[in-house]
Amino acid sequence: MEDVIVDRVRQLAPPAEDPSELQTARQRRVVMLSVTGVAGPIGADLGTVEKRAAGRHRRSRRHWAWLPTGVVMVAVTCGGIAAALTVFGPTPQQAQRITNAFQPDKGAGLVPGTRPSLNSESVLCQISGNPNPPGTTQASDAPMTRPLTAEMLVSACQHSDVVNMQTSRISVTPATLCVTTQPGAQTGEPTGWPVVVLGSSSCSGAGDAPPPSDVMAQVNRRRSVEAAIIAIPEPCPTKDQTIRWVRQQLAALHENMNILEADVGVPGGICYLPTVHWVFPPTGGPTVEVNAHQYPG
Amino acid sequence: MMTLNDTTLIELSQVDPEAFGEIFDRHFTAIYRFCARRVGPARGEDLAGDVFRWAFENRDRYDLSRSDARPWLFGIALNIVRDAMRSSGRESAAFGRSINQGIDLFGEVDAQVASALDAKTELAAVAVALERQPTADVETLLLYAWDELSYAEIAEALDVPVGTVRSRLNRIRERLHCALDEAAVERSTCSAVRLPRR
Repeated sequence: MEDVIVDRVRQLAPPAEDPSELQTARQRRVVMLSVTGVAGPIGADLGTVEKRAAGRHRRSRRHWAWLPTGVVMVAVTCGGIAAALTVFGPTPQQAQRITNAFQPDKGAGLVPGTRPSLNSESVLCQISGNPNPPGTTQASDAPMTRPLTAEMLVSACQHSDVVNMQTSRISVTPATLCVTTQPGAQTGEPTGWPVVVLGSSSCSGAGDAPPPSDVMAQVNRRRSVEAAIIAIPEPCPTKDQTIRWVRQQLAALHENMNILEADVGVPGGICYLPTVHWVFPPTGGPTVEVNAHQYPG
Repeated sequence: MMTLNDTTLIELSQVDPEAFGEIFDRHFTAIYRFCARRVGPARGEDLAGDVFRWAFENRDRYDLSRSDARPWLFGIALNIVRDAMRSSGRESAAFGRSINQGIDLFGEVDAQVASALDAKTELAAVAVALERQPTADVETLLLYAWDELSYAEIAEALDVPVGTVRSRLNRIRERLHCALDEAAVERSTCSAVRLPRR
């Protein structure tokens, strides 16, 4: 249809330059704020959308896969870098590196957290008698070096946006720690993932199972593995540095995870950081994503 | 490096919302230009942001059989721009103002050229004729000429069959040809496609 008419209509197009970097960055920030719910001021006009998006994010972003049980304290050295894996959680050095490198995430409620949360700290929250799929929150309010306890998982659900966003009052006591008996259709967490049942239902009454005796050992082992992988020592590593680090850690930990070089970070992202996805749909298993981040930029 | 297509990213964003950032990075410039041309750069920026927020909130509506999200985003942008114009009561004037900006720019560029006056007159005729056309036809033509969408992409954005896109473009092109060619106005084909003044 290339003819004089199309040519003339094109000439009538008002000038529209590409958006400036500032415009793009500004809109990207606002959009991603509503998408991820990452801490920041919530504008009055976006509040509803952001809270809804944040709730969805909380319910869906964290994943899990089976990990071996029978945890023992292991100290490994690989390439001159010591990675301490304990049942007690990330080491102070790992916690410091992670805090320096990653954005503080949200706490259990709709309030800014004081530290990054780990994907292994996610817990499902199921409301007794509510037919909807359970929501997800992070048990990330305590210092990272402190091992998670069953009480922390329960408290996270009792104070989470899963509860805050209910339109009617619900009972958060009693609250019972259970584990899932089937993969989460909505949330993706597979069988055995911690789930807190809020209200009077028992584990079996809510369709879940009583937790095994080592449930918290499993949770804390996942935290240790995740921390060892993401606590990269370089303050702003290149992609090659990060991939090399991840490979070293996986070898030292005897973990078999996929490495995804996603490279879909924010514009201007110059630091390549690893993120552990315990379940990652495209690959179906634990995956370490290496991606560009703007923080710290 | 693994490059995921739009559909995979949108599917992935159901469980990892940050994946939607790549959709923004890929398409923001085109959507911004679409909005800015119709409502101006300042308002266009905000509306372009609205497009992506709406898209994220409604990503479960995205047809996963489509590999490219661009037409879907343009369809959202059309609705958001329409709503913005409607809410501010500027719907009928918007295209005219945009088009006049284009004429002014053209005039400035070619002011020293002998043929500029004729050319400007010709453009003005097209602009006037465009304002008399049905909105659906104009939107279709502008998506093709300004935003460079293919017939198939326009069909997807407007949620109409490709054949409808083709017929709308043929129809409006014929009318605009007639507006440019005064002699042709007397031809029966032009008489048949002329519309009364709105």
